[in-house]
Parts: sequence; C-alpha cells; structure tokens
Amino acid sequence: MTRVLGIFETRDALLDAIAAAKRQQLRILTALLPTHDDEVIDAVGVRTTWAGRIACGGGIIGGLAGLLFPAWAVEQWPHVIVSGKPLLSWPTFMIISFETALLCASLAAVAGFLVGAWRSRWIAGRAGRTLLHEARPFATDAAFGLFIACPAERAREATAILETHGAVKCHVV
Amino acid sequence: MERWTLPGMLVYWGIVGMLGGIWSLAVAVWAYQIYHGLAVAGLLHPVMWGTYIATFVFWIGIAHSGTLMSAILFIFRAHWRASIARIAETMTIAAIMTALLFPITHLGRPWRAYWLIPYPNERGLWINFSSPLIWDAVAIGTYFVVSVLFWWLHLIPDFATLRDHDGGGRLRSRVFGSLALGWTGTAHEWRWFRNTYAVLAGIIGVLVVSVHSVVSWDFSVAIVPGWHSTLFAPYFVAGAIFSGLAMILVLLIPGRELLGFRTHVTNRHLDRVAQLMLTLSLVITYSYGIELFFAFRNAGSFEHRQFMYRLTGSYAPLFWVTIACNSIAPLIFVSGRARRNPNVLLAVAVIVTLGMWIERFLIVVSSLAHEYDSYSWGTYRPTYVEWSLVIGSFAWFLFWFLLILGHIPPVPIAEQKEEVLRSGPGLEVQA
Repeated sequence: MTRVLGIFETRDALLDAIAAAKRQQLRILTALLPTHDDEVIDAVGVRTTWAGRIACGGGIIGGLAGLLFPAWAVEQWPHVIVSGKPLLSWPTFMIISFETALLCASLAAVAGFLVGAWRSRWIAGRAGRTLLHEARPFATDAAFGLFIACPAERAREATAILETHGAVKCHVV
Repeated sequence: MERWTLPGMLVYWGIVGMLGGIWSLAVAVWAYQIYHGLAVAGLLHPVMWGTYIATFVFWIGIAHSGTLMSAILFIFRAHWRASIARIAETMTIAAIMTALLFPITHLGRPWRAYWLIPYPNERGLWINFSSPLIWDAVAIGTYFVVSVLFWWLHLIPDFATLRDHDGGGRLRSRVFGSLALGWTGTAHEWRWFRNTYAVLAGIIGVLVVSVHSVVSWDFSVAIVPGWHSTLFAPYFVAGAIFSGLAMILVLLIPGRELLGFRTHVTNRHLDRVAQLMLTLSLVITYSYGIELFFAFRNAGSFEHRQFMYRLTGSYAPLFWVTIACNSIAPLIFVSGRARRNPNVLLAVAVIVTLGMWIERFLIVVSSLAHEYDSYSWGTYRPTYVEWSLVIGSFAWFLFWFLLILGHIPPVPIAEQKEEVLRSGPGLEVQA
C-alpha cells in the first residue's frame, strides 16, 4: 500500500478533502489536527475510545486491592487490639479502598491513552510513521493534514484529489 | 510562545532566587529544630498539634481548588477556562509539594516519615490502617499523583508544540520531545486525549471532595469538643475551595504582569473567579453559623463551652478576625465594579488567604487548648521556629510555582487554538 499525506492550511479544505476521498473510496488512515476538533475527528471515522472502560477496570482492581491489602496486612499482625477497634475494620478500609480505586482508575486511564496514542501511530506502518514524523511540525503549528492509504496505482489519483481540494503540500511514500 | 526580554528574565530569576534564599533559611531553622528537638517549637501539652498541622491543612486546602476548578470548568465546557486552567493546575502541584512537608516537619524524627508507607517492619507489624493519619497519607498521595497526571496530560500537545517550534536549542527540544511522548496530533490521538482528559476530570471532581473530607476526619473522628462534628467534611471542602480561589487571584493578578499573559487573563476572568469566591464565602459563613447553632443548642455541654471559649477566650481575637476576613471582606464582591478592579481583588484575596490560615489555626489550636478537664487547659503560641517555617513554606510554594510556570506555556496553546477556530476565521500557519 502507498501512503499519501496532504497538508492543508484551513479546516474547511481538510473537510472537503475528507469528503472527496470518501467518495473516491480511498482509505483514510487519519487526519492531523492542531487542536481537538470533533467534526473532523468524526468525519475521519475515529470511533469512541475505551478510556472510560479502561478507567472503570482500573478502578475495580484498585478498589479490590485497597480493600484486600489492608485486610491481608492486618492478618499478619500478632493478635493485638489497636485502639479498641476490630483488626479487620471494613468501614475504615473502605476509605483506603475508595482512594486506591480512584488512583488506579486514573493510572489505567493514562496508560490506556498512552497505548491508544502509540497504537494510532503504529498502524501507519514504518513508512507512514516517517511521513507523520516529518509532518508533525505542521500539525503542532496551525496546519491540518490528511493521511490516506491506497494501492500504488491510485497514488497519483489520490494526490490529485488532495491538491484539488486545497492541499498545499503532498507527500507520497 | 512570547520570548522573554532581558529585563523580564532578570526580574523573574531575581524573584525566584530570592524565594529560594528565603526557603533555604527556613531549612536551616528546621535543621535547628531537628537538632534540638520539638521543644524549640511551641508544641507542649495540651496543644500538641499547632502551627505545623494548621499550615498543612491550609496548604492542602489551597491545593484543592486549582485542579478542581480546572476539572469542573472543563466538564461544564466553560470557554474562559483556558485562561486560568494551567495556572490553577500548577498551583495545585506546588501547594501539595508544600503541604507534604508539614507532617514531616511535625515529626520529631523526620527520618521515620516512611513509617506511614505500608510496609512490614522488622517485627512483622504493619501500619494501623484504621488510623485517619494513614487514610490521609493514602488520600493525599492519590491526589498528588492524579493532579500531576491531569496537569501533564493537559500539557502533552503543548509540549509537542514547543518541541517543534520553541527554537530554544537542541536540549530544550529534546526535553520537550521526551515529555510530549511522540505526540503527532492525529485525529485518533486527539480523541484518546480528550476522552482520557474527561475521565480524569470526572475522577478529580470526586477525588477533591473525598480527599479534603479525609483530611477533616483527622479531626472529626477524635472525641475533642470543637472537632467531633459531621459538619467538618463539607465545611472543610468549601473552605478548601474558597482559600484556593483566593490564592488563584493572589497568583494571577501579579503573575499575569510578570509572566506576560495579561492578554489571556483579562478582568472578565478575574470577575468570574470573584463571583465564585463570593458564593463560597456565603457557604463558609453558613457553616460558621451552623457550627455555633449546634454548639449553643446543647447549652452546658463541652461543645457549648468550647465555642464560648472561641468567642470570648484567649483566641477570641483570632475568631473575630476570621469572621472579618472570610465572611465580611468578600461581601464587597457583590459590587461588579469591585470584582473588575484588580487592586480590590488582590487586597480581598490576600485578606481571605490570611483569614483561612487563621481559621485552620483556630480549629486546630483552640479545641486542643480547651478540652474536657480544666486542669489540662492551656494556651499555645507559635515560636519563631514555627513562624520561620510558615514563611518559608510560602517562599517554597511560590518558588516552585514560578519555576514550573516559567518553563511551560502558562496558557494552554492547544485550547487557545480551539478557541480561535471556534470563534474566528481560522488559524494562521507559521511553519
């Protein structure tokens, strides 16, 4: 597969190019954006992420760990009574459990983000990653990009579509 | 990002250096305390928790507002959030770094601070998980980690911008590149970024309420008149947000001149913060009223006598100063002109910050000084050692706040671009 990257100066030009690429049944890998933009992200066809579910899973694991760890630790004690409270004091462990649930949910969410972001670059392939790397300064400035995958024989057609819709630069690898 | 002028840099590094000098002196005083023992602080029976614990609670309160404000405004999609979010989040991190020093300072043998961390010691005994102090360690540790994650996640697209466009040399570019973790700005990355940020914002909202509730339980689970109250958790949470908002104003008003983001933080933004402060001030005043109402409803009880002591005893002047600072002074924000005047805002914010510190001091000290038995009553006054460490803590806080904010974009670049795209014709390509 050949990869074609077009750089656009305006958001409207990018949206036009996305629509045209879809009409021509070219595979859109991703778009490059200087900021978050739901309309463009939806147009590219990026599905919702698993961030919430990953955080939820992390929270459940953290909550259980926060409940079971103090219980296990207290079981290691000799049988001393501390300040008149039962050794396995579930109500007080709930507080620790709640905090560790939130801690692990946050850590899991960020880990999910890192893996998800890395994966989105990884699927572009080695050549695609090089192209993305070169296009990075445009997207972190104020320009937009559209990244397309197509058979080698359609590369010229894809480039023409991007240029027709306002691409100021096109790269093919 | 605006380039600094030479005079601007000299002023910045001069202030940072001066603050570093002040907290270094405080460290020397702390070393003196470690050498001579806690006797050089004014901590004696019956007041064994004094200035250090009060200052700890104060700084934790300051820490709470920053991230909470950023998170709540994000959840409600307040567009003016972008101007103050970064400053508020940075304030949180510097404030937690300051707060964490005080439980350690309060220890006679600070090298044993690690005993709070869950580990089995050589006798096979674990820490007491039923103790509120352990809940505190877990809660504040969690808050610190999540706040740093929230702050750093928000910075990733900005670090990528600095990596590609800062022009400050290869080393800076490499450092920013490492912190940006390969951010490219693909649509997939933005979706992950925004969803994860929303999840963290939701978690932060819950976390702030829980962490300051846990801090309040340090007091309210103890059977001490003036502490043993179910009101403490909401009262502490409201106080924390109130004091944090005041600190945001204290930092924003001079900070926007010093760090050159006056165009991003306008009087309109300060007005919104002042409106929130006024609301929180009314909540705090209601809490003071409710506390007194329940104490006086049970006439003759220890609680009643404790509050009579607060109103008329050795610490009464502090109580009335607290009321003046936290309940009366913010009422000026009813006036729109006052809310849009930076000098008035700064003056009231300083008064509230002072008032909230005194309030924390009063809660900790007056209750311990006047417990059940009259033979164990006493008074407490902080010594110069404690005052030095309190002043040093302010220097430490401002030092880290300025040092961090001076090296990152004080206003989120990506969100500013979003605002421009939403409201204007589009972005202008520089590359």
